[in-house]
Amino acid sequence: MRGIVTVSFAAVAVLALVARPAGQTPVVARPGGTTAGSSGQSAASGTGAITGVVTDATTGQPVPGAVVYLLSTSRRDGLPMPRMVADPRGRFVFRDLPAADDYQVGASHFGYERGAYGRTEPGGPAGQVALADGQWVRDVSIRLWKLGVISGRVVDERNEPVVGVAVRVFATRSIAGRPYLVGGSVDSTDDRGVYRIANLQPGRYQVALLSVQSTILASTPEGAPLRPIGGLASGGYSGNARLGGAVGDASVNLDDRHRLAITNFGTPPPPGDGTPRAYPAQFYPGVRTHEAAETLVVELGTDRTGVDFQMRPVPAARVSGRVEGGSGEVANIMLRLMPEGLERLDFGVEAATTLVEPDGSFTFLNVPAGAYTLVMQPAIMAFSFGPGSIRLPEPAGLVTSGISVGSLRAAPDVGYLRSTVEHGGDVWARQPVSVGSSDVTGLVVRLQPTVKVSGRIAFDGDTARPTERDAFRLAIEPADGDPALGTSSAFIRNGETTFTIEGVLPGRYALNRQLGRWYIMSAVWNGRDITASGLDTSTGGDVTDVVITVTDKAIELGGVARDRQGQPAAASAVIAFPVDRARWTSYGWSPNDFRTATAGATGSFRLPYLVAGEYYVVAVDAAQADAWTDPRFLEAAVPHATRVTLDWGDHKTQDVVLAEVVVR
Amino acid sequence: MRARVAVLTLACGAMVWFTAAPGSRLRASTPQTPARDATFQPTSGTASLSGVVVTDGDTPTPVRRAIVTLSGDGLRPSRGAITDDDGRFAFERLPAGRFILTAARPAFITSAYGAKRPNRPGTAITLSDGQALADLTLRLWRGGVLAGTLRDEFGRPVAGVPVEAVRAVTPPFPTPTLTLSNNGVTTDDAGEFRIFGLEPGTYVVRASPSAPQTGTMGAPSEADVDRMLDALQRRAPAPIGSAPVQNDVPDPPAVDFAPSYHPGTPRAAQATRVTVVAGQTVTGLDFSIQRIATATVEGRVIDDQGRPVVGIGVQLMPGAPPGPFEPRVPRAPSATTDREGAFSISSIPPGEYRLFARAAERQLGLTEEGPAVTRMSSAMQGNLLWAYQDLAVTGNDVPGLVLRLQPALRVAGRVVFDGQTLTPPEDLTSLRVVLRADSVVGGAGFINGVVQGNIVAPASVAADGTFELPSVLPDTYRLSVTGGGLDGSGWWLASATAGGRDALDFGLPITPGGGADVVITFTDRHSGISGTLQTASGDPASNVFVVAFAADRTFWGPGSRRVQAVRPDVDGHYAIADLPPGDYLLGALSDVDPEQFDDPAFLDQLVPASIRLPVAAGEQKVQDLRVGG
Repeated sequence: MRGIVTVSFAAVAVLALVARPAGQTPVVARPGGTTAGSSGQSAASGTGAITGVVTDATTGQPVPGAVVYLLSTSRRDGLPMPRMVADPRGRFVFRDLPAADDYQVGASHFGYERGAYGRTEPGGPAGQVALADGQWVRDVSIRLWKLGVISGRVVDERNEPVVGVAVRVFATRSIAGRPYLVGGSVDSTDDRGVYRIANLQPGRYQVALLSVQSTILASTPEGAPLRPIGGLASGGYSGNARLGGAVGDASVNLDDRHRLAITNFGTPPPPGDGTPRAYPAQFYPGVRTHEAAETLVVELGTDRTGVDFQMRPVPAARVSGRVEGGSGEVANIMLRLMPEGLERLDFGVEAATTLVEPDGSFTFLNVPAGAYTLVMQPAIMAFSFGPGSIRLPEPAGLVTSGISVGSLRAAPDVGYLRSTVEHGGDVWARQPVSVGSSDVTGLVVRLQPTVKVSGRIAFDGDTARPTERDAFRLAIEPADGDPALGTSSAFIRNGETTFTIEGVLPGRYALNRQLGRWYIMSAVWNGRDITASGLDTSTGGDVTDVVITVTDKAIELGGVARDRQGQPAAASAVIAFPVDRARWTSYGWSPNDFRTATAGATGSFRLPYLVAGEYYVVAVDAAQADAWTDPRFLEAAVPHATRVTLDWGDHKTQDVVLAEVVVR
Repeated sequence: MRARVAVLTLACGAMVWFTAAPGSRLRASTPQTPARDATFQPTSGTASLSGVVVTDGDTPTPVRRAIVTLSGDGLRPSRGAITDDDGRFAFERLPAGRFILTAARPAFITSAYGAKRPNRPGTAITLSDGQALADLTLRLWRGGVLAGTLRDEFGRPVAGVPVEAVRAVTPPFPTPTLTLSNNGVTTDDAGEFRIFGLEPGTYVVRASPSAPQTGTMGAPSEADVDRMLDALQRRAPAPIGSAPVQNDVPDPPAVDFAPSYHPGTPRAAQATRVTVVAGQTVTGLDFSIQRIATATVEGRVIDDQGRPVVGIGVQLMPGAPPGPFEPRVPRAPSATTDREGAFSISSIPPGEYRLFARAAERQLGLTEEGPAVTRMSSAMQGNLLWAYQDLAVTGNDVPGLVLRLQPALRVAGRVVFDGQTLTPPEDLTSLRVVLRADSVVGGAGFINGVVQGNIVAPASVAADGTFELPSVLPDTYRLSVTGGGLDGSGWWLASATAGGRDALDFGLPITPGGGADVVITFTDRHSGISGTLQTASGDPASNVFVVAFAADRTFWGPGSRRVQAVRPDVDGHYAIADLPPGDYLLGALSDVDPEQFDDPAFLDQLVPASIRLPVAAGEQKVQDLRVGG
């Protein structure tokens, strides 16, 4: 797969609307004749009502025209639930509703972040409405937020606008207890050189003008692999088949064997007779490193204009050498030259990329001076944050054989994209490269074999064995969250009880302890239990004979959250976290001993999927639902928390009292 | 914890269908790019070529940082260069041959050397060994810009709505071209949109807002809300388990967002037509999004014995191919029948629809109530059962529809190789016969409710040349043959006759109750017309178009293979290949819009100025022409 990758994150609520199962709610055809289309429900009518108003969170004014919708997971009839357009005073009325204790009321309007009943901040958790037969729940207030905007203009050294170049925002996120720079939305400039990145959550951002010098081989077939990422916006290069030219032919020959692909980055000056020149990537305001970049503070409704860039060509060098090691075919392996310190970022941040020739040689064209890390790995993984779809500028010539996307439990608004690279197989490379004013030649890149992790699965007691129909993944995740290590997994099916995880880079990994319908009780390697400490592959050798013992005895903690007056603490956030402070960081992306839940309208909560251990449980304001990713919050929460011991198979009840946790 | 689900959409996946568009009949006569070769050696030679890229207009100015691409049959790979600050470019060490030279720059329209207007075919350049061709001037046109603001019914800007500049094109099939897909943007947070790099032409501007979630959407007025709240106030709390209270206030009308065209109409026919010339910026295209009344369509699906069919998918598809400016990839709302075979599809905007159900026969199992679809599969295999009904939705609910399934139709035939010099391919089994429906009905597949194509699953050809498509739905189809390594082999698809008519000329009509028996003939005898064009003074005339079109008017029409045009090379040579045998009219034109060839009235105008030329089977007619005399 090639070309533009669009990653979008949809709220899970969307999935609540399943296709109607056959035969549950017959639709009775009405007698003949036509009736005017109406918004009434033809089935599943009830006697409840929910009414309220939609307002702009900043101005307090009603938002007429907003679309208000209902969600309920307990309503099993599968019928789509009604939607209402808010009237000129922002009001909405849902009538004839069947009883349910978990209605969510959402609202959406163009240019606003989606709101929901009970949501107190953008992106925060939604509350629930319990509706009994005949009950009228009134004055449901939904606030919609206008988020922030950063915009600017890109010009070149002659102050002419630069069209179709990619600009991206970056922000820091805490993952597994460590800060990471993560990329957000991308925009590309229009015919005036103007870009505009909207829908930014309140926070601190850095902005970069991307520029990748993508070298492809003269032998790279024209067309598909050269596909420009011009889909970022109209007006990028587009080949025109009607003229007889190849689609995506925006590349230039710099010598007989190499071509520079011009995609959504500035077209460099022609090499001419003098020194080649390139437009380097830059952070606002015109600096080369993110350390020197200005941090822009975005608040609700911020419209930050004038975040402008001027592209200036700098002398560029050619970096060439050969790859050594690796047992297989090296042709078309993609090498990426990442700016030092930005190795963990994704497509579009590379200073340069190139493809290895069949004889093992490689050349990066047009590399600006700087300190870089040359990176090659079997799968490229990166994080991104933010709503909606992000189109990532893939390097020209990259051929991927598989793409997976997902979200990180360890960082609630961060998603990941993992692209398995077609060429290269089971090797990796990572080494510093320093580029000055002259060409770098004779660089030797040593391809290192990746590590295999293998073993077997043991079943505790009378734990059910897998059947032919079971299929699940055993996944390991970088303990400190580093996306550059990537995740690797073994697909286990057909009743197998052995596993091999291939393509693992040296490092320390956490186990995701949810394994299909089982839970990992322990993982033992070389006589040591590595369940908590993680698996260390940094010695570079294969890891064999790991014994993973699993159980099917699930654990669930339930209860009721109340405020200090004993009233149900509806929509509060209930958090379970481990007592052991060593577990507050380095837990990978899917910590099995952290769980949060939103208390329902009656204050009740459920925390399923926990693993055995000692826990603290605390109820806090909904706004702090994601605060557990910060160890300082956990420290502050301990005095307010209730201690619970959970063993396999436990279904315990523990009521909690809403606490005010203040992080200093 | 807020669980999140990530959805991956591959934008390029959607493009597959777009690029399947049939090629324009107006071709620059340059073959396509070469395939990958393990023993790659770049071509090189002793010729050179250089020139300058300038803007169009009375005072041309150099265009810097344009990418100039030289491609041609004997050049592997094609060459690319960046223009310098004076707009200059140069290619060295070129082999002799014929080349096409193009220039591209963002916000400009990719243009070919010799093109008279943007996005028109250029003139091929011929180079001999050692030749140094200098001072070529390549004109590059700045694309047009359409900009405006989108608002809601309250006059407030609406953000995040897709807006497209849609060009009226009348291709032979309702298939978008690659060019169109580049014309979409999304309104920014101020409701503004700006679409740039547009080819000259006539456009309408369409916004396509959508609402979250599904389900009927009510749009009560302020008075409606007052009345409903008042009724709730007056209602006594109902005892638990009591019957629903009758509402004395009717439900508000059901509505949904609809695509909206500038100046604020849901109808493409009423949209403002904006004509853009190269480099023109049209601002102030402000308009409002629309909500329109929607309806619910309900009915049942039964089998041929009248028993309800449980669990079959029912889709509501556009009833006719989209007209000019209308969306070409419509949403297809769908539902699945319940235990009684009943279905209900809500939020249907007004329009002409075809309500459509189908399942493979072997997917149907029997329940107590009747046949049930046991396993839905997207594969179109086995005997297909289908039913459809055309309906017009006007904002009123449509209840009581009955769809009775009936078996699909059979198209069979054989592939014949009629060779004089070539021997037929030994293995015919890699050939595929492909039918493409004129409308979206015949073979429409759906992914996530979006019509993905109009191609019937291709039929494999048996070793003896026979083939069978067992499950074809009534429609008119375009027939083609793929695979078998026939491209470039010298074999040419000459005819596909069924019922005495050639499907390659007139399409393959399949009507209910009928089927078709098709004889597909490949030949190695190519017929065509070639020659040289000269001006009155005897110089090569390359700055014109040569068109050959059938003398018999019944062959005229969109996409006809008997209407072809080319531009001569710089040396005046032209060649029109693979014309079916017959009487042709040959003419020359100074400039033409390719779409004009679809218009019989335009061809009629050419008749008096054309030469009549019979072309026999296998005949390579040579006809030199002199123009401007």
